[in-house]
Amino acid sequence: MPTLITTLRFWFDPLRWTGPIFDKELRVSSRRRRNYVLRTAYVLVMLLFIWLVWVETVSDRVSSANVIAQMSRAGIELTMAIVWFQFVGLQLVAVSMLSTAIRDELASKTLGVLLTTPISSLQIVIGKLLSKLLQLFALLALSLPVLAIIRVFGGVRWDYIIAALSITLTTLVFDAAVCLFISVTNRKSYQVLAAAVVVLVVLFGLIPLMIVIIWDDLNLPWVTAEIILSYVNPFVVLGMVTDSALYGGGIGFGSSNSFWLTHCGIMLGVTALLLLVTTLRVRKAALRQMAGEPARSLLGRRKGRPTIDSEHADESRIRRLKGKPIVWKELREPLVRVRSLWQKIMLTLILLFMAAFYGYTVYRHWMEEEVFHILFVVIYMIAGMFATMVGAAAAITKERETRSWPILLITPLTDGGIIYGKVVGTIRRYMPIWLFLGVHLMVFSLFGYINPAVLVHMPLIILNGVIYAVLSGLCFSSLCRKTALALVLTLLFSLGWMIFLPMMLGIAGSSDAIELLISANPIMQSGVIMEATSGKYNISSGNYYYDISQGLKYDWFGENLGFVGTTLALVGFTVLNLILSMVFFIIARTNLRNKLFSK
Amino acid sequence: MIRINALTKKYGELAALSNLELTINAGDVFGFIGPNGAGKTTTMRILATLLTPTSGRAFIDGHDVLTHGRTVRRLVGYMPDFMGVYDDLKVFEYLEFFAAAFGIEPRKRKGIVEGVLELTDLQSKKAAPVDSLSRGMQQRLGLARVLIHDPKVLILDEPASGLDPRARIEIRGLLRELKKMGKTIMISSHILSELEEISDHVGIIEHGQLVFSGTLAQLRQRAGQQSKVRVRVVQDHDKAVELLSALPQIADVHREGEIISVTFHPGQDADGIVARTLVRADIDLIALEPEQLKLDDAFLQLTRGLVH
Repeated sequence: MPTLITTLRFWFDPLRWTGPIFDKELRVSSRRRRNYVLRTAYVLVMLLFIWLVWVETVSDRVSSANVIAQMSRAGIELTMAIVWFQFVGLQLVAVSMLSTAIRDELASKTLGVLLTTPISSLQIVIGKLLSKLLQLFALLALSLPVLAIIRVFGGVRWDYIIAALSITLTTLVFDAAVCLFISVTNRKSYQVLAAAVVVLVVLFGLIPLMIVIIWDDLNLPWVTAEIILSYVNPFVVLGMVTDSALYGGGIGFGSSNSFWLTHCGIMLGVTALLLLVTTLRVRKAALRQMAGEPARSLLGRRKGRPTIDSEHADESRIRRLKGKPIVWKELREPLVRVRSLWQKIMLTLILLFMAAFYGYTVYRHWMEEEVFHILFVVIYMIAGMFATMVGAAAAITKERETRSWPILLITPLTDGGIIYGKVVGTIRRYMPIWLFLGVHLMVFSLFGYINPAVLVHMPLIILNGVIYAVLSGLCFSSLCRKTALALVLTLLFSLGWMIFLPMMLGIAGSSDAIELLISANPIMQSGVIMEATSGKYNISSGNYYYDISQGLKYDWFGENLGFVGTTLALVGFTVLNLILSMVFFIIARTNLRNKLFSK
Repeated sequence: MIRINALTKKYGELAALSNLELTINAGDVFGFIGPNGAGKTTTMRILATLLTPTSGRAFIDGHDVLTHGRTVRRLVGYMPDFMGVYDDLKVFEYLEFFAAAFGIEPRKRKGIVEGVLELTDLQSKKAAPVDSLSRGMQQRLGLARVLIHDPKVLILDEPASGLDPRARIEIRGLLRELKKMGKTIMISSHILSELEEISDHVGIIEHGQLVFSGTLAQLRQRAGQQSKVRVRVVQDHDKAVELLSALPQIADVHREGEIISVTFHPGQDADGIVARTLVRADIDLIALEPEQLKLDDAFLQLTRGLVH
């Protein structure tokens, strides 16, 4: 019996799984000011959000009976607002926190040292994971008192709160596992962060979207798609749970709608698998680091990496400098590193998939409908702006991190010249993504699927998107020491004014400000333009060979500005964008020589 | 060539430099010595225009580093105490990039890069990725980079740190070459014997203040006021110790086996009296060696809490 107890104690001792890493991470995180700033900012934004929802919901105080009735409705809406705020907000925090977890050990070359101790790979992975998750859970727990208070209003069901919290928790653990998995194979935190965002967007956004499109096209029973997605997609399952809470129907244990339990089980299973693979890769990464080799990229070995000896004679691989030095240097870093066979296969598959999807959409005559053009163009816009922001946010901080920044600043290059070089270099590096968009617009204009008027407006919108993305990224890059932080701030700033601010203004009922903000958003602008110009209906609505703008309806919040009005509006937004970009430029130039030496 | 007047740099309450005064003449190799945190790197960073002083001024070739930063950058080649590398560049590309950054015309770049590669013996590595080089090679590449625009002044912050003995010797040889080329070199190092071999002048800094600045001979004169001699006699060691201890010029005598170490009072450097005293007492003298004061000893003496 004592042997059994000892064995059980041994296996279920928390320290056995987390080791000293957990303890160390908690100590370090308690000393980091940014964690306190993050918590405070998170709580403040959440409270602001709750307040706005409250104001919106309990706005009509005609009679006390009316107020009591509204309280109950407010209770439900506030709970749902908090649940969704936490679900989305904590995922963003999780990605930004976890992206540096193992990469920090790789960068500071301590991972190899850790593995010379009796600490196991599993303890490293679990220690890192749990320490970060604990902080995320602390943020999640901050809402519990608020949810408890809201319960007083009535109308909020516990089973909904339990289901929503469980879905949020399992999603956070899954996100964390994805970040750790990518973090093991990459030395650069901004690449981990960007890759994690892309993977999660593809998993939770693009793949479900394509399933829905194909399902709809094949006239398959919609309920089957919903069930499949509910098992693997937390957004879908949370939406379904929210629906059940709103419109009745049990969602608790044993009820017919307890599908969220299966979802949580599946997510935890996949998470465990990911953590297992991560654990297996940690030791290899550490050994490579100790051997002085560069970290492997995500999908395989860097076979093309030449050794010093083999380099002696291979002078043909030297590329001579042409043009501006900063631009040339920026372009030396490739858009996508394709070294191993696996990477080549993956890239080929992605391109083939894109070609097949294009072919299929044309074959099924989907391109005659504007919705598919809107979809493609918005995806290209988001991808282009995201990639440009990632590149720009890393432009200065990556040099600070590798400590090559001071040696660049002791050259006679002017501060403005350096920023100009970074801007041009970043834009040119990410040009291929914009080229895809350009080719889409031109080819479909040529074959009569899009009105050529698009070629007047979209270049302006793309210009706006590119300039905004690159200068906002550079601005935050100049302000930060770490690339991950610069990237997080850049993305938060953009998400803030593009999504959160309009949402909050919408809740507060300020419609003019919302319309202005949404109209200033290049992604929304591209949606408006594509809605007006693409598809067979828009093409056939006027004789565009003589007057390309004839009959086009540009719907800016119910108002048709027409071709000229839209052009003038876009020019106006371009001027505003240029002023904003000038502010970003000045901030970047002012801070260029700061944070040179301090760690 | 380099002039520093009342230079002060404060980080909050902490003064990294406090009214530092320093002059380095053209063509000099100036060894900058000091304990960790004394202010060497801060001084060098200010001269390289990377830090702004809290007060005071610094000039290079008559140009104020604060107001004429771009001119100063053309005159100075600064090698920091770390090697920041670009992941995606090869050695030749790295140097060509800096040649372009320093505004060297495209048609001249290749020749200049080849020249510095030859000078730093990096010809064979010109196609190697920068981040794959060993520490020693990276230090050489750092030196090659600072030479690319043929600066009048070289500011080298511990160029030999972390190198193996062979690499250190090679770097030393390279610095001698640069000295012959007439460069003004300001070099800091923790390996003081290296500075001793190549420096004309040395400056010792502690707590942000210059404790000493002058030639090595002046340094020895100042720090070596208590000269020492080592004496070896055939027999009568105890008698010799007794006799020498009685001399008023001598501060301390102690015996280690057959060797007797004699330390003179400050200002007394008369080793002749030791020989005379022993010969008169019929003690057979085998050897009498004046102990040369090393830079290490001078450093220890001058920085032993003299400035707080």
